[in-house]
Amino acid sequence: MRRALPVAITISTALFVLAALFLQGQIGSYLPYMLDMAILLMAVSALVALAYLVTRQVNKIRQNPTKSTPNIVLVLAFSITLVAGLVFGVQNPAYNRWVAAIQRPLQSSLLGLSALVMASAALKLFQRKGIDAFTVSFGLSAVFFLLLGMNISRLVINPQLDAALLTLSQLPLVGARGLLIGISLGALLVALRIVFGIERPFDER
Amino acid sequence: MSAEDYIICPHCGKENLIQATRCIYCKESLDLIPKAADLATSDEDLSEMLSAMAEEDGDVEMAAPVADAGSLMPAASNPQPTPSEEVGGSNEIPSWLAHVRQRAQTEGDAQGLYNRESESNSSQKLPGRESLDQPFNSWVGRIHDSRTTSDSSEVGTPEEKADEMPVWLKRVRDLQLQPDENTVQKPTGVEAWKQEWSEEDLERLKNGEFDEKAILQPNLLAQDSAAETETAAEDVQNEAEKAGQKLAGAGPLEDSAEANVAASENLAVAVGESTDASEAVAEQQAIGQHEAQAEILKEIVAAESLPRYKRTEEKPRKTDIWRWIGILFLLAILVAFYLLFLKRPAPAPLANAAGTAFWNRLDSVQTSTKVLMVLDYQPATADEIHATLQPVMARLKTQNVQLSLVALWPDGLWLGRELLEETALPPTTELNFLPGGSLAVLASAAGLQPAGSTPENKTSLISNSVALRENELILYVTDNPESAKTWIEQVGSFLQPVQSLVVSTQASQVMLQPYYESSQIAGLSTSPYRADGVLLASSPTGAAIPAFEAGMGVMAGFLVLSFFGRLLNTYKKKPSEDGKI
Repeated sequence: MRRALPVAITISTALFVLAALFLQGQIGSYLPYMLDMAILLMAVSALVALAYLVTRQVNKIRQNPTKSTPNIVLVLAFSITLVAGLVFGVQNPAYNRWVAAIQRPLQSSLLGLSALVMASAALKLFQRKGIDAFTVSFGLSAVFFLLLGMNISRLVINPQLDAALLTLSQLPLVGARGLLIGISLGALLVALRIVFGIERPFDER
Repeated sequence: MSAEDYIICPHCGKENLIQATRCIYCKESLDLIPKAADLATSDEDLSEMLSAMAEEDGDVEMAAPVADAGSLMPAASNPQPTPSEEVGGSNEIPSWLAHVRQRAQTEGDAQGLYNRESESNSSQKLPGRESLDQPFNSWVGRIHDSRTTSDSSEVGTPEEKADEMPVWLKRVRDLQLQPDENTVQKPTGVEAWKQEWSEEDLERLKNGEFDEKAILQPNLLAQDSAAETETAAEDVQNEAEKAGQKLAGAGPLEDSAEANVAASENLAVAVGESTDASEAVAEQQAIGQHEAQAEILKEIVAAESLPRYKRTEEKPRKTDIWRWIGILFLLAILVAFYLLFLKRPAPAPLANAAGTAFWNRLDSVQTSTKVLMVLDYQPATADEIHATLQPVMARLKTQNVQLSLVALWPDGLWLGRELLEETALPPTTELNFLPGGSLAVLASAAGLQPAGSTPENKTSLISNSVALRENELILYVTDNPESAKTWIEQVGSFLQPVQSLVVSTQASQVMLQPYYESSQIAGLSTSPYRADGVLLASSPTGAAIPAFEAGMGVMAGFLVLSFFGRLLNTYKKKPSEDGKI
């Protein structure tokens, strides 16, 4: 019973959502209630995770205060943001600008760093694999489609060459379609396994 | 000293003075033994001695004692033949001799001492001597037999006595660890240092429970001094064996008390020697400990003096000129792309059909139409997204539509506010945050009129704050193709395809293009360029576009540089066919 209840809830929920999708006129109007319950559950779980994160950071600071500068900064920033949001409200322009001034450069530098990491990974690929058919095709295709994505065709005056480049530019779409089909089939299979109770992501065991 | 000066003890066979009444060795009585000198006197005296001995031996069933020696001589009519008669033919033997021989046969003669035939040199014997030798040999054999029997039954053999170790010797031997007793031989002493420390040892060391003497000090060191201990123990054992031999030599043992006293004295001497040996062993152990500690220190010093890691061979420094060439190459690409593409608009090749459809659908929007813009992107991509959104917002402003913005993440509030400022839209434009993300959007798309909802309680539900179906056009703005997929596949299934337009980044173009081609969305915009190549972005944020393209150019140049650099290295290292590089 203890293990059957979550499975029963999962299966019934999935069947209800599917029914609401196919029978929108009949039961589609009941779907928002269920989705709102899911939103509330997610919010509660987010609060629990937040409390766990803060508790863990505070414990680290207590154990070793001298080496917990990042933890102290994290807790302080979190506390100030929370208090300010509660006091001024999330719609306050000053509050939004303050958050934006911190968050925007941080996220931008993070993405820039990830771009450099990926570039260095490509470089290491050449260093480790050496020059063979795989690396040559990979490098040439990467450079070619990178330039193609930069609208390199705008510099091409010859219309025949432009048409050829346009045709070649469709090749990534072929790969994208294949990826989408594969992802969709995989998602369908996982969904069926969950619906039939074969796979239980909610069960720790 | 002549033969007449001593007598031979019949019990132990040792020589004693002729005046002795007891054997000085075995303490047996010598009274009944005839003097050697008397033995040599006459046959008659011998006969008397034998008869006296027969009388003394009460358990011997002999004939009734005779009054004189002549009666010992067998009568001619003695019917019982004797072996000597059979062997000797017609030689007549006396009755006493026949009796002795008979008894010898009865008691057994393992060593042939009684019925021993005449020696090979019997021919050399004097006539008449045989009658004297036979009873003598028989008598000696009996004594020997009785001694052997008593030894085996009461005392045991001298070897067995020697095996009977004293208690202290047994303890000494027990202290000596036998190799077979240890099934698991742990390394000790210096070898223990050489081995890697186990987790248990480290834990014990941390807790202060690591007994160096018990674990590392040789059990040891005594292995080195074990040889001395064993030698001392063997010495003591030899002394004990000697004492045991003396005990064994004491014969049958009615008076063994005196012999035991002598043995005890010997053992006491041996114990004293063993005490000295123990002190010597302790001294040897101390010396061995010091030697082992010195060896341990020596090993530690030797180990510490070794380098802890192998020093890697220093690679030859590459010439910095190639590094500078690479940096200059990348900078040149950056400048070239920036100069080439700045203010030289051209449509993205993949955005032609989808972008055209996007703008066509946007142009078809009527005045005062309700348009909802869903913001689902992060601050890091805001520049690119805003550059794409800028002409869209300008067009919507021109068409005077009822625009409202909904952020699916809290940071979308200030991003939307920035967007409104950049596009010069009135700040009164509705901008809300919808908690719940995709689920809330899905709920609002599915529940146009939730069951039991009334205009009064319409906003009581989270998802009812935004009613997607009430908007004629919905622009979903995202920088993540996965989020766009979720929107199209989940939310889009509750909407009409003509209602949905997607604004995304160029990186998402390839993944989202198939959805347009499958008519799940009305259009897709990933660029501020129209299909005819006109850059629609006119605000300062439009500068992000050439900067973005220049950055992509740098990435392309980086790839090219690394590729050809590797190719060059491979060519340099490739040996020729004759093996020369």
